Amino acid sequence: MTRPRTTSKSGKSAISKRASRALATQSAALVRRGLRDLARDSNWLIKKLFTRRMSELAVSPSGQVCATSYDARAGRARISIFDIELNVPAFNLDVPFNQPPENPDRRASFAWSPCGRYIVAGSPDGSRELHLLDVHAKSHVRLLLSSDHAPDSLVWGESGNYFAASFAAGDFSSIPVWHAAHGQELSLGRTAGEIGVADWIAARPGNDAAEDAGQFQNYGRMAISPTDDWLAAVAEIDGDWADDYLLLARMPSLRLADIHPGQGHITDVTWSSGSEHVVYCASGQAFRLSLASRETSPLPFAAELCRCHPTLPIAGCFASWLKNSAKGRLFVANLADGTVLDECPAEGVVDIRWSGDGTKLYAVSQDGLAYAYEVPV
Amino acid sequence: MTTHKARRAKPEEQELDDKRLERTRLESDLADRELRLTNVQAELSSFERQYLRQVGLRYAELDELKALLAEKMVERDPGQERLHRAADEARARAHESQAAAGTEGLEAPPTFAPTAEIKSVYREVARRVHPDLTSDRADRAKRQTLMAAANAAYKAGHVDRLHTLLADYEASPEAVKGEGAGADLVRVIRQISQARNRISEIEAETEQIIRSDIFQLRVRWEEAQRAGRDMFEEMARRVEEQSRILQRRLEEQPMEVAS
Repeated sequence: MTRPRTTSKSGKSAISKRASRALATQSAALVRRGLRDLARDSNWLIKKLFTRRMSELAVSPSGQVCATSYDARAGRARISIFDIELNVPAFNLDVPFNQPPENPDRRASFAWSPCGRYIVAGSPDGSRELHLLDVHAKSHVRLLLSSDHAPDSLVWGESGNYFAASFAAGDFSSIPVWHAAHGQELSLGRTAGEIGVADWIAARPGNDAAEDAGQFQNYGRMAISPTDDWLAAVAEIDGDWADDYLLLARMPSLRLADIHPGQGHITDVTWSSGSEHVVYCASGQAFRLSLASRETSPLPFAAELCRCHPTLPIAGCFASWLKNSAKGRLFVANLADGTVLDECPAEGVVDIRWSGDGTKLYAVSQDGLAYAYEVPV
Repeated sequence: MTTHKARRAKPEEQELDDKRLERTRLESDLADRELRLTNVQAELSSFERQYLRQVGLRYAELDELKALLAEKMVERDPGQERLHRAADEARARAHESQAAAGTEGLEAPPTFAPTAEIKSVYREVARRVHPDLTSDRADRAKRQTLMAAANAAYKAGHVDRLHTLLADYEASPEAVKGEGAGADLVRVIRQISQARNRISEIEAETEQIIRSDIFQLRVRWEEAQRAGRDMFEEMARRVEEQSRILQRRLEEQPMEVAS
C-alpha cells in the first residue's frame, strides 16, 4: 500500500507539504471537528446570533431569541427571531405598529409564551400597542391592546394561565393582569386585576417625604409565581440614594399584600420552584425573600439577573463583575447552600431563561452572544 | 439696475436634491457595511489558516496514526473483512484531514490587521466606485472590476494600490456626471434602489457568515482570549495527547485486535 506524503519511521509519522486547495470547503470538516471537541469539554455552548448591538432581547423556553431590528430596504422596524439551538437562518416578523418607530435602538418589550410559540411585543417609544405574534406560523396574529399609555414590562406566567403588563405613566402607572390559556393564542379582554400607584404609595413604609426617599418612576421587572397565586413586581424609585420597592400582590385580583424596600435598584426578580421564596437582585447582590416569614436574607453571591430552575433548588444567574476582577460571568448556583455549581465568562447578558423541562439554561447578551448550559445528568 | 430674484427650485429639482441626499447617506452606509463585511471575511480567512496550522495539522497527524493502526491490525488478521473496511475508512479520513490541513497550515499566517489609513482609503473607494451606485451598464462593469481589485488590495494590505485605483477611476470619463434633472432623478432613484438591494445582500451574507462553523469557532476563541486562555494551544495539546496514546498502541507488541 502506498502512502504518499506520509513518512513513517518506527511507527512515527509526520505530515508533509502538499499543494494548497480552497480553504472554505477543505477545512470545513476540521473546523466542525474542533467545535465538536470543544463542546465535549464544557457544559456551556456559546454561539454568536447577530453582530449588531441590541439591548431589548428576550429568550424563549425553547432557545429562541427575539429582538427588534431595522429593515434598511423598507425603512422600518421589525422583530427578528434567532435560534440558539438550531443552525437555522434568523427570520423577521413585521409588526404593524401604528406609529412605526424609526430608531432601531428604541426600547421594546417582549414576553414569550411558556409554550414558546407566541410573543407579545410592545414598543413603548413608538407605539402604545401590544401585538401578538405566532413564531411557528411566522405571522402577526392580532393587535392585542391599544392603550393610553406605553407598555413597559411584560410577563407571561410559566403556567401559561396569566399575562401581566406594566404601563408607564408616572403616578398613573399600572399593572393589569389577564387570564390566559397555556398553548393557546392570547386575547386581552377584561382584566382579572390591577395595581395602581396610589395603592402602594400610601402604604409605603417609612416617611414618604424623607430626604433620599425618591420619587416613583415606573414599574420594573415582574414575576408571576409558579403556583399562580402571587405577583412580585418592582416599583422603581428615582433618586441617588433611593431604594426600589418589591411589591407582593395576590393573584389574580392583584390585591397588595406586602411592600419590601429593596437594597438599592432592583434589576431582576424570580420565584423559587415551589413559590416559597422570591429571589431578587438589587445593586448587584442577590437576595432571598421568604414568603412565609417575609424576611429577606442576602445570598452569598453577586448577581444582576437571576432565574430559578422550574423544579430544582438552583438558579441561573449573571453578574457583570466579580470581586477583584472586572470580568463578568454566567453561573448556576445552588440556592440551598449558595455554592456555584458551574460558570462561564460572559459580558452584557440581558436575559436568562430555563427551558420548559429544566434541562437547559439559555442566556443572551446585547452583543449577540448566546449561551446554552446543559444541566449534567 | 438689475434685481436678482431667487429662483424657486422646480419640484423635480427639489426631489432630485432630496434623492441625492438620500443616496449620499446610502453611499456612506453601504461603504461602511462593505468595509465591515470585507474585514470579517479577511479576518476569518486568516483565523482559519491559524486554526489549521495550530490544530488542523494535529488532527491530520492523529488521523494518520489511526489509519496506520487500522492497517497494522489488517496485517495481523487479514482474514477479517470488517478490519479491511475500517482500515479503508481510516485511510480515507486521514487523506481528507491531510488535504484539509494543507500547506497553508505549515507557515505562520499573516495576521489580518488593517491600518486606519487603509480602512479609510478602502471605504472611500467603496463609496466612490461601488458597482451598485451606478445605473450605467458599462460603468457598472468597470466598477465591478475595480471593486474586485480593491478587495484584493485591501486584504493584501496594499494601500498604494488602493490609492491608484481610486485616482484612475476619478480621472475616467465615467466619473463625470451630467444631463438634465429628469434623467438625473431617474438615475439617482435607480442607484438608491441598487444600493438598498446590496445592503440587503450584505445583511444576508453577514447572516450566513455568523451561522458558519468557523465564525462560531472564532467566538469561542475570542471568549477564551478574554479569559486569558490560548484555546488553540489547549485544543492542540488534547489532540497531541490522543496521538501519544495511539503512538504507544502502535509500538505495542503484539497488537491487540479491538473487538
